[in-house]
Amino acid sequence: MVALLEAEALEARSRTAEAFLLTHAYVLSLEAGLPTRALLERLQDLGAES
Amino acid sequence: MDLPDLSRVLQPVAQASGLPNALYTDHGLHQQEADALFAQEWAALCVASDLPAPGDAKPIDFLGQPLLVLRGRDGELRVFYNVCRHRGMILVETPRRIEGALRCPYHSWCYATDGRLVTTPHVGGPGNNTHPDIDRSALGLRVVRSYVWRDVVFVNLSGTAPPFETVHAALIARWKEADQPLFHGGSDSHFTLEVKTNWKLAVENYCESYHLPWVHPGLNSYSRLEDHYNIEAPAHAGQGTTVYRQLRDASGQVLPDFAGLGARWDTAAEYIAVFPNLLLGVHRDHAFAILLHPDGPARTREEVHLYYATQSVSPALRQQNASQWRSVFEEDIFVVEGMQRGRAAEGFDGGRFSPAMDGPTHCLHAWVAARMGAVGGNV
Repeated sequence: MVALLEAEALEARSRTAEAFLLTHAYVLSLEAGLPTRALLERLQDLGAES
Repeated sequence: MDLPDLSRVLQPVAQASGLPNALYTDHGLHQQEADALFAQEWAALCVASDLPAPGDAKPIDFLGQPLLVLRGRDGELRVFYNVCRHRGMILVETPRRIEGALRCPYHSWCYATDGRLVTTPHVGGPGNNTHPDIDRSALGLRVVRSYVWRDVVFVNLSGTAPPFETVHAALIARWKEADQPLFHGGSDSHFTLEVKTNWKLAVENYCESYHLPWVHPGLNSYSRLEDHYNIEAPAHAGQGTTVYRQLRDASGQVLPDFAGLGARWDTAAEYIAVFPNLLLGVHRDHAFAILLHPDGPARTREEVHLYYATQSVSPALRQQNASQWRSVFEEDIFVVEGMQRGRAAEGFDGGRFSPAMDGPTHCLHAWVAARMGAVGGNV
C-alpha cells in the first residue's frame, strides 16, 4: 500500500496531490513501524512537514 | 445523598461503629469515593506483566476514566488518557501491540509510544501537515501519574498525592527483603472473580483472620487462629501467620524459595491490603496480588495474579497452587455478598467491631472516613 501511494505520488499533477498521497504513505509507515526518513524528507521538500 | 456523619467511625476500635450502609449502596457516594479514595490516592490499575514487550498497549476503563497503559520502545511503562488531543477520540479499543506509532482512527494524528505527537496530517489544510498554531510538542498524550511496585501499576489520577514511596514507606520497609524480582506464572496463574459486593467488603474480609476458622476450615486445619497476628498501619492493614506450610506435589517437590529471606519467613506469611484496592500476599516461595475493580457500589471484579521466585516453576505445581488459592478466594464470596445484602437493612448501624480481632478492618474504615469526611465536611 505504501509503495503504491508513493508511485501514485510520482504521477501527481499538483504539489497538493503529491503531498496528500505522500502523507498517507507516511502515516501508514509510521503506524506499521516501517522506515519513514525518505518519506519525511520528501514531505519536508514539499513544505508539508516540519 | 449527603455524606452521613462519620465521626463514630473515627473513634478508637473499641468504641467505633463501622461505616454506615450508604457507603456500600449509594451511587452518589460511590462517585464521591471514586474521587476522594481513588483519584486523590494511589490506586492499583493493572499489572506490568500484562504488557511485557515494547509497544504493548492496554486500554482500561478505570472508574469511568478511559486510560491507556503503554510500554514504550524505551521499555518504560506509562499511563495516558486514552484519547486523542484533537477531538477526544478513543485511541485504543482492545489490548494490542503498537508496531510503530499509535494512530488515531479518526483523523490519523499519530503518537510515539512515549506519548509524543509525531504527525498531524492535513492539519494546515490538504497536503499541509503543520500549522503555526498547532504546537506538536505541547500536544502529546496526557500523562497519568503512575508507579510500579511488586509488578502492580498504580495511578494517582489527581496528580497531587505525595510520592508513592512516601505514602507506602512503612509497607515497603516491612517487605524490603521480599522486594525482589517477581515472575508472573502466566495464564494459568491469573484468574478473575466477579463478586456482587462493594469493594470495601472485599478489603475488609481480606484484612482480618477472625473468619478463618469458620469460612476456611481447610486453611485453619494447619494455621490456627492463634497463629495469626494483626497488621495495622495508616495506609495498609492485614494479618500474618507464623505457620505457613509449603505446597508439595505427589513427589514431594516444593516451589523454589525467594533468595535471601530471613529465617522468620521459613514459616511465616503475610496478607496485607494496600488501600484502597490492592490485596497482597507474600510467602517464602510465592506471592500474589489481587486488584479490586469497583463496578458501581455493589459489584467488584477481583483480578488475581500469582508470582514466583523464578521462571522455571513446575507447571503442575503452579496450577495446583492457583487452584488452591482460587478455592480459598471462592470460599469468601458468600461472605462478602452476604454482607453486601445485609447493607440493605435499615436497622444496621455500621456494626460493632471486636476490639481484639477487627483492628485491621477498622484501619480501612478510619482511612475511608478521614478522606470522605474531609471532602464532605462531616467528621
